[in-house]
Amino acid sequence: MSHWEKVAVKDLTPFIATSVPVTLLKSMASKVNPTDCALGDAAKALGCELLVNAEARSYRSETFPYVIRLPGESYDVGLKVEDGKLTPYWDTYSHLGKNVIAVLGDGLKKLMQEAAAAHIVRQAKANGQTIERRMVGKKIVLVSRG
Amino acid sequence: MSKEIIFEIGEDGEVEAKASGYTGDLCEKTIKAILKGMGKSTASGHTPEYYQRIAVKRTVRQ
Repeated sequence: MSHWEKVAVKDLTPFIATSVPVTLLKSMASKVNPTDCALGDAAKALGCELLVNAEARSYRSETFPYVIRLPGESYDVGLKVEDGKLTPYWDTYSHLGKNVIAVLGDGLKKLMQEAAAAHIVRQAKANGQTIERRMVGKKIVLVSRG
Repeated sequence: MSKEIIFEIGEDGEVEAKASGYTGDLCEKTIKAILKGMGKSTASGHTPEYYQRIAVKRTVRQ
């Protein structure tokens, strides 16, 4: 190894086009900036749906700009980026108990992980690299060759 | 030697990238190009191998 670098996802804003509905993002995937779709892809990989359009308007605010609809559930979760971390709007779920919050928190961690992986895959391919993906423990390992 | 970059992505979205097989600054440039726009780099550096290669190159030129 001749060089190493550590980077953390500081803000999900670059990964998402907040003014474009996610359904439209999916159909226009080839026409928009690839990184715009990364968070939507990550949510899909988790079986969640990312809402960024009028459907989420009642939940969305400047404080919690992202809304995730969880699979098989009737509720959504508002998200914000705080101190470089994706933070859910816990107050909404205070009646659901700590177990549910723990599950949501775990899912959000995976979302961050998937968002980072999706970004790297897109950038590597755009850079003419081939990329392989595997899981090593709880880590996603991407091997890029070019 | 084949060019290879390994990205390890933790559950918190932190990425650790390591390059091998690249010469000179190309390894650093390639990593930065792929991670561009993702977030700020929290740490980076070169392994002893990187400096050894530069030393060898300079010796040859002399």
